[in-house]
Amino acid sequence: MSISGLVYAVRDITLDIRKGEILGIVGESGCGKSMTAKSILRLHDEKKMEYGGSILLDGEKDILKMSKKELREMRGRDISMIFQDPITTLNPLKTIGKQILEMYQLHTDISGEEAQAKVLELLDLVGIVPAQDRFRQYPFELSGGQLQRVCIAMALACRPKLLIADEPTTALDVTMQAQVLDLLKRLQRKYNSSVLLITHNFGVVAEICDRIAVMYAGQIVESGDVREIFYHPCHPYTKDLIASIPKTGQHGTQLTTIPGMPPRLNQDIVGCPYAPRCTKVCDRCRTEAPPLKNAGETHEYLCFLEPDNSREVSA
Amino acid sequence: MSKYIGRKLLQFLIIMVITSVIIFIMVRLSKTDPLTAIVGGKQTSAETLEQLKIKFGLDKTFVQQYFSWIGGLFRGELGMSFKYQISINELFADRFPITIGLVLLSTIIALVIAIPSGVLAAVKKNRAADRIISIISVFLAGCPPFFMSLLFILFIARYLPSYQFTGGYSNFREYFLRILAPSIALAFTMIALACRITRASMIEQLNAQYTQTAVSKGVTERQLVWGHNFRNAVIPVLSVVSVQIGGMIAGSVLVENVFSLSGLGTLLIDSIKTSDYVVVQDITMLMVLIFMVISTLVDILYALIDPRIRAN
Repeated sequence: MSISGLVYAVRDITLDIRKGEILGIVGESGCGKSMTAKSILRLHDEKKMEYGGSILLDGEKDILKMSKKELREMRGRDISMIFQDPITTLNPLKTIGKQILEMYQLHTDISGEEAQAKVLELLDLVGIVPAQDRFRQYPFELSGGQLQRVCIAMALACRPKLLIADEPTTALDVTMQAQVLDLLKRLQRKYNSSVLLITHNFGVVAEICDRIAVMYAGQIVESGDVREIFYHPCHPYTKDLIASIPKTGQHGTQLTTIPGMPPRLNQDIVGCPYAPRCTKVCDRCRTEAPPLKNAGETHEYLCFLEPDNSREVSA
Repeated sequence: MSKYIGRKLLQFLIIMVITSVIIFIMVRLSKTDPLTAIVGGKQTSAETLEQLKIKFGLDKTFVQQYFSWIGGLFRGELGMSFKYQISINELFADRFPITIGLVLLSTIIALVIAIPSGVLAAVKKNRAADRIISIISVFLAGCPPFFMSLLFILFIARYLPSYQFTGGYSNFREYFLRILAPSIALAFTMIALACRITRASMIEQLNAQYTQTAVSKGVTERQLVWGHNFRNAVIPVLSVVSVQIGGMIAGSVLVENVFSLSGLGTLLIDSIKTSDYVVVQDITMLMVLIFMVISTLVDILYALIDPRIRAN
């Protein structure tokens, strides 16, 4: 099956990530989270993709206007990325040591020995020990959790300003998830990097993020500080998402779900994209695009509902 | 790793033994009496026939004949030709270099052309360069080697009349010139196949997740293609090439004939026509040997390329 014509995977997004903060993007599958993340590094095939707008690094350099060379130098050095499935993320035929080493070869002038010493230090730091032996191992000799640590080490090798983590724990089992998140947070503090964390798991966000942006159908429908969003969600979608987090100690009760599917992105969307699934839908929602409203200094959302009205519902 | 190589060598030996039995039986199933081949239709007394039988070991049982043949091969003695009544070693001395040179040179030519163009086609997928390469390779894949040889001869005769490609050779330059034209003609099928497999395999690697990781690290296109993707893509290419070398050995028989080169291929056809059994057995065995040596080398190469194969 192929989709013809232009598909708006991501529409009118404004995101800013401050130095040293962890911003979480949350949303269901197919709502444009990964698209947004990959766009920052311009990883999409530009023969098939069109970018619009601007992506500013340090608030001045537009990534969308960078030359091929500038882009290459920026990738890995200023912004790096870790991906969902650590097993397929690394080159199967190169030792993990060499794959981390490549970062230094690409972006620094340090000697081979110096770089190797740094790689060993990094492996030690992310708990892949004994580093000396691990350096020479191939990806297939490590477990998924270990590989994700290797990926984190690799992504942070050049102390990037921004680390994009695209569902970094989704492919891992639960005990590993906590450890990897912990490591991510620890290193982010150590290096004072910013992190853009993409996830569909609200629990993950609550654990390590400073701010949250909730995405639906290619738009950011709500954003704000993590506590603010958790305790005072304003957008019905955010509320429904939070309501569907399974709670411990609730045996026998049915899990809450949001019925329906997100809209197909090649369809025209009239009005609010969430309207067909929204429990608080009114006639206006189906014809008119909802406005952006403030519910606090850092808290914005995209809905007709007033913040107070919705606050009372969430209580 | 040494265990892996050991296992491959053992496989090699077993296959060689089995094929030697099959070759021997197949040749002996032919209805022609080897004696007819030896005397070549001349009137011969029963007494002489008896002597010839003993001279060529035809008085012994099949099993004995098989073991004396195999034993000879292990000692490097290929036996006596019925037709020429000389040692087959002597018969092969000039011809073997032609055939092996033909196969090796055309493999090299094929890979040197096919791999870069396959990679180029993959990188430029669906663009003009890819389309042109694909059309040419489909055309080449459809042309049998003997047909290409004929076209080639016509071309040489018309445009390069001074290039002499038939006859014997007395130095390396002449040898090289003798095998060059037929090697090119023989290479076409492999060029087409190897190019298409390289393209498909590279496209798979270019879409792999680790490729995206490498791009996100900031590698250049060249570093990506040759430093990351190519090594991952090369294993299926090697498989196809090693199998195709078998086809090439068979093709060399035809190409030698068309180019009137006196290699093993022409000798094989002659020997089949004249029921020169031992020569047929030896040449077939030699071709199997070349094929098996290459397959075994390719198997070892797999393990050198891929650590996962090494670990198994």
